[in-house]
Amino acid sequence: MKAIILNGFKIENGEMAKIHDLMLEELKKLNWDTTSIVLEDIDIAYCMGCFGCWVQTPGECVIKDYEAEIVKNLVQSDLIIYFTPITFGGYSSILKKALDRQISRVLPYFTKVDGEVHHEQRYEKHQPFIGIGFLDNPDAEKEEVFKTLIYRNSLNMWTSYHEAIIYEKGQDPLEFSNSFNKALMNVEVI
Amino acid sequence: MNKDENVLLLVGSPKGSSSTSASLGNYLILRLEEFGLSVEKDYIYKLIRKEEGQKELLSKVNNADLIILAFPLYVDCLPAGVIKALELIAKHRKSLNNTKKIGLVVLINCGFPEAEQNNTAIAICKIFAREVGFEWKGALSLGMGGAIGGKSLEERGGMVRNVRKGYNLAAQALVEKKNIPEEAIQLVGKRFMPIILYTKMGNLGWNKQAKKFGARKKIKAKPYL
Repeated sequence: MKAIILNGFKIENGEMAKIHDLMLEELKKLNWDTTSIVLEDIDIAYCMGCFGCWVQTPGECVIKDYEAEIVKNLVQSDLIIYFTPITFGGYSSILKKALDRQISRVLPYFTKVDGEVHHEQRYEKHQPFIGIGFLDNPDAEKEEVFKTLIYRNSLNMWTSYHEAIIYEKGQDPLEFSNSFNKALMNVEVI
Repeated sequence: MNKDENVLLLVGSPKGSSSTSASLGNYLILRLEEFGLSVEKDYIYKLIRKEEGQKELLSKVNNADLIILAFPLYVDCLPAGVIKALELIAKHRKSLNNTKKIGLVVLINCGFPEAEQNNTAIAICKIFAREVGFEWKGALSLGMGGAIGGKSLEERGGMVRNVRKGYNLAAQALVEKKNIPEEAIQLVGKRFMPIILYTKMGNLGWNKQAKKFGARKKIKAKPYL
């Protein structure tokens, strides 16, 4: 079973590096074959909003760079994990740059689900999705918005399961490991 | 607002001047200019790519009394370039000792018919305003952005009359240093055609565009499997 982590952190954040190692450890324990992509290391272009990935080269971005590898990994994974500093309640720009370029994973066509319009799915597989956000300081509003964003992404990207885990600066790493492990166990059940 | 105060329109679509975000921003700034205000306009994706542009962005923000941030919804939140701009502004503002109060207005549009799908992105902008000490003036949230397609609101005629009405009310309020009124928010958020018509037209439009690129038959392709 393959897992992908899209890491939207600045490399110098030591505490996050530690959490990242813990995640890899937990995934390994449960036999996940994990690819972790540190996005800050990679030079990818911004999405141009051209919709070429829907109408010109369907399923593939017209810009040829490392994003193709990211999308390939997302498509082939059985579990998708976003790892980000919570930035005004949302994702860091580093992570979002990669996410804006992966809308090729859905089709341009509109469809209604539970009374709301979404894009149709391109692939049959519904992957589980975990969003992990790092908070510098406790902030209930940011937490709530981050959780909502993970939920909204899960709807629009057709995931089978979603979970938002918040790690607060200075928190006991063991607590984080337990929450992460619990989410992975839920994924296994699915 | 006083006539010596500065308004800055930041267009946050990577499509720049041909975007729906630019059309919406242009409509609002024209109204503000009619009230005698001077407005500067720039494009986030042009500014953020190089250090020089980033400095220009920060200097323009510092000089502004009111910022209008216009952008499209990308994957349930702000486009990456807009987040980058907000990160830069937040970092810069933290380094300043005395910062004047700057107002922030958000003009958001999405391709889905429901304007409500913009709510998470608006919440993010609101937290940004709180964090940097900007005064939150409100957000005008529009669905069915694909029906505007980068054309001016005047060109789109009667179909978007409520959008224009809402924007006119918003301009009046901003000039009077008030927040965007609820009536303006409601008018802009109103669906300007039935959802079924919008989605049908949208789906036909995708087929037409794919045909233009010779990709109609492979529009449902599944690469990378």
